[in-house]
Amino acid sequence: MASIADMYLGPFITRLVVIHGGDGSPGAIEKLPGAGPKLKAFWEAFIQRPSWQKVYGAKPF
Amino acid sequence: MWRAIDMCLPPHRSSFSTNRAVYAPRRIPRLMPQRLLSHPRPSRTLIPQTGTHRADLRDDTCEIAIAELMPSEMWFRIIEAINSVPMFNYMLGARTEEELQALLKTPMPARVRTRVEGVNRTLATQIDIGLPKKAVPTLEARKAFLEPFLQVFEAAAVPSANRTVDQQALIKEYFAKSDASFSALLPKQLATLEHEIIGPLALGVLRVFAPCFHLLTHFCIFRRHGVDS
Repeated sequence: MASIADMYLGPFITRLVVIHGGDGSPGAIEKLPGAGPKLKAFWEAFIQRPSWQKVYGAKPF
Repeated sequence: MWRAIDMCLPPHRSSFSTNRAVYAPRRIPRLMPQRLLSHPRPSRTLIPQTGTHRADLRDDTCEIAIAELMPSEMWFRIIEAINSVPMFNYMLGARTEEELQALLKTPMPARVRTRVEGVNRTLATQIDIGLPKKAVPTLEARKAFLEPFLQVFEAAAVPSANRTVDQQALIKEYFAKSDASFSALLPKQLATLEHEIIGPLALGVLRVFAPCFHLLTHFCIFRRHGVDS
């Protein structure tokens, strides 16, 4: 169940991944310096959401 | 005499009397949902200072309830988060020429210019306005902090082909500072997130706790009203 905090974090981390040259794959979060296991789990859970796929699936990667 | 006092009193006091003062109760608008829906007024302080919402700024007071402010603030922040690059220091919010040109389109350069002009005006008239001596170092420090940003924004407004050597050096130094700021702050921010996130999503998975809380709430209500007895 996503909360309003996830709506903040999702675009924020997505932009960070884009800036660091990542893509929409589950392993792209590892390009961020200091990304730990919780952030990796968040990224893997968030990019599977249909809303994320609809907004960021093709762009901005 | 009453006439003179009438003229000095605030407008909530009735001013129709001629011989004596007649006090009318102050009219405080009630925060009713109908009123909020028919007259939605965004709060001046809670609107992000972006170009999108700049036109909505008003000087009048806010008649909106906190219950409505919270979602509106959230939506503003969500829209801003989606459409902006996540930088931590907004004045250092550009690391490339494209990002700097995008930053020039925001109210930030005008705001920096206004602040610098205000500080200069205050320092120039400090004797006339009776500025305390303690405030002078603070204002000078603020001026020293803001002026380089103003110079960078003015240099960035010039087309890149027409920039002087000094302007190019200013912008290059600005990009280096922005990059250093971003690189230094990002691991700290990510470490904070790593600590705060419950996982896998930010507030965890509520599938287990929400029904329990729901049942507990209903149990308490039923016990209070004697339904289950």
